[in-house]
Amino acid sequence: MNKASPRLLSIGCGAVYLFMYLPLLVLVVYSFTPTEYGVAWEGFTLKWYIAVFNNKYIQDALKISLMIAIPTVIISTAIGTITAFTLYRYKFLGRALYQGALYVPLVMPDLVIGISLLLFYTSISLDLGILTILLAHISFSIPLTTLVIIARMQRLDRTLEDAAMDLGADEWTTMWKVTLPQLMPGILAAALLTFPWSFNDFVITFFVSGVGSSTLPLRVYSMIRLGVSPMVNALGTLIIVAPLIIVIIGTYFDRRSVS
Amino acid sequence: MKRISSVELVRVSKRYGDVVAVDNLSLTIAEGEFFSLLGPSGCGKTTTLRLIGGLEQPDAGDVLIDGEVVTDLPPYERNSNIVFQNYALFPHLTIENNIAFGLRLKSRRVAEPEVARLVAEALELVHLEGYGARRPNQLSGGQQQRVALARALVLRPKVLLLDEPLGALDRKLRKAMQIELRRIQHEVNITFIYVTHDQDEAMSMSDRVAVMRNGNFEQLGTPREIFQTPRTRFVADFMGASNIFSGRVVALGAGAARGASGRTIQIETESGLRVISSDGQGRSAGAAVEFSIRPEAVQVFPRDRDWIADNKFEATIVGKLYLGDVTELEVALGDDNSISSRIQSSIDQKFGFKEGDRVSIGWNAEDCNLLSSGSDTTRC
Ligand SMILES: Nc1ncnc2c1ncn2[C@@H]1O[C@H](COP(=O)(O)OP(=O)(O)OP(=O)(O)O)[C@@H](O)[C@H]1O
Ligand SMILES: [Mg+2]
Repeated sequence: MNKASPRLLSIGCGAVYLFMYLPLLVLVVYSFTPTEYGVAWEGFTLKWYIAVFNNKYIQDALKISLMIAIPTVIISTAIGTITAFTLYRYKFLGRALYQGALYVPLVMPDLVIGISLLLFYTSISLDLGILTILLAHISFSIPLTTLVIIARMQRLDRTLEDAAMDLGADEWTTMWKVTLPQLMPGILAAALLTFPWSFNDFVITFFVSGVGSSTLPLRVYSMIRLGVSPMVNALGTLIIVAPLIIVIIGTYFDRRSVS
Repeated sequence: MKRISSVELVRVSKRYGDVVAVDNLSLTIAEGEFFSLLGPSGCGKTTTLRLIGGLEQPDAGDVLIDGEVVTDLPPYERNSNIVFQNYALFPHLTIENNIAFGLRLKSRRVAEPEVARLVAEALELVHLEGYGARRPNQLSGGQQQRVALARALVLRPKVLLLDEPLGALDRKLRKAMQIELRRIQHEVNITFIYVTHDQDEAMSMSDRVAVMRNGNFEQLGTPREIFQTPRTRFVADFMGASNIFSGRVVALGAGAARGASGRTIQIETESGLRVISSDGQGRSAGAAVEFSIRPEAVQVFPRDRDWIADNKFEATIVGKLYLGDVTELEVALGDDNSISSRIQSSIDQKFGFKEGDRVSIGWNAEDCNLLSSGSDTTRC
């Protein structure tokens, strides 16, 4: 390789990132623009942000989103940990099938999942609302948490558990004092990845939500249908920034768990 | 003095799929004994330790500790501790907490001030004072190994199982730790089962040594026995008695070896050398035999020098390897035979041996160690 190619590569890389982030940048810039339907930059304002914070609909939707995302994170991380533990540790009939089946929901179109959940909930006469959204979110988050934690488990050194038991710890103590602390970075990463996974979901939530249970993405969608207001840009900016921070923290923990 | 058996294996077997890691192994180790397992990679040393420690279940046979059958007991109910080959320190705990791990378990109920005292004492024992607050990944391999040692020793088990515990240490520290381990062992009267592939280490530290091969013992005995009278070709080779010949007994009681004890025989090797051995007990005339000679038993002198040995030959130096305090000479005896000799480097220097020199070589009848014939290896 000649000397120029790393530079060429870095320029190429920059272009790719620009391609990825430019639309978001435009959104952020417009969120600070005062005119209602402006396409050109006409000065700086925070009025749309103030509008967002004063909008009761948005506040309600945010509340619902959090009411769903937080329990989803807790419950699916807990279930994911137990599932990962079972799949990794014990040999039983159909284990490979179970493990393979974890990937299916990840590649299945949201549309299909959404429709099937809707069908299922109505067929068991469950009223659509916060509960159905929560159940849906937990169900599509479990594969994610389980896979993240299994990945961490595969890096686990089994002789550490041997050592703990050899030093006198029974199975339970070994799990609490050695296995779980080793697994913690994976569990944290799973939790931090699940939050935006749940918070951002639109398609599946769209199918299983009922009257009065609009999450933030659904609310934004209905606002846009009535015409794009820069308030949506401001809200969008906020929505981008918050999960982004969480994802960054999440990958930080995952990275740290590798080293 | 009657000693109780501390560890006993009764026809223990362990297989992993098609691999037989431990094969019908029986063994009795006395209380307070320093017992070493020596053998090439993959011969089942680690598996044997894990079977005793309870980390593996035997497919057949029984394990006894202190006279009690523990075959079905989990590791945490056995009074043994392992120093793992890869250290197995808990990365999320500091060195102090690693060492305190066993002490702090509910089952032991050691009071906190006592834990602190024992941990400090253990750190001192392995010369790691001041390292207590660090994490395992902030220590060198040798330091981690010593922490692993301290973590197991602090519990004062009845049996300590050590899996190459000094492998990562430099020579000087290893020597110091060897002495330290021996001292600890005498002091607390713990039975040590010690895995090593360093034969010098096994020789210098052990009461008894077992040479392992394919999941069983090839030979078991005192270090002196194993070293001086290996019973099989494998053991002879493993112990560095690299001169191995096969031949036939041509005369009994012949050649009256100089001051040799035992029964002398004369052997003619396949390549026609006539050799006297004093290790001829139980051999009959005409029997096929194999024998080994340790390189350091083979002496080399200039041809014009006057000296006596039971077996003396004219030879040519064909190779020379300087090893520090000793020098290894490869000498050819006629066309088909070559033999290696280890002499003090000072002697080599004095005579100025070089490749191509014609020399006189020789060894005594008692240095000619007979190996057991054919496939019937000594089983213990
Ligand atoms: N968990 C396992 N699964 C399958 N095979 C195993 C397992 N553990 C050990 N073995 C096999 O059993 C045999 C004995 O292994 P063991 O670890 O006891 O050897 P060792 O004498 O300790 O070797 P080394 O000196 O390299 O540590 C080897 O052939 C090994 O491949
Ligand atoms: Mg081993």
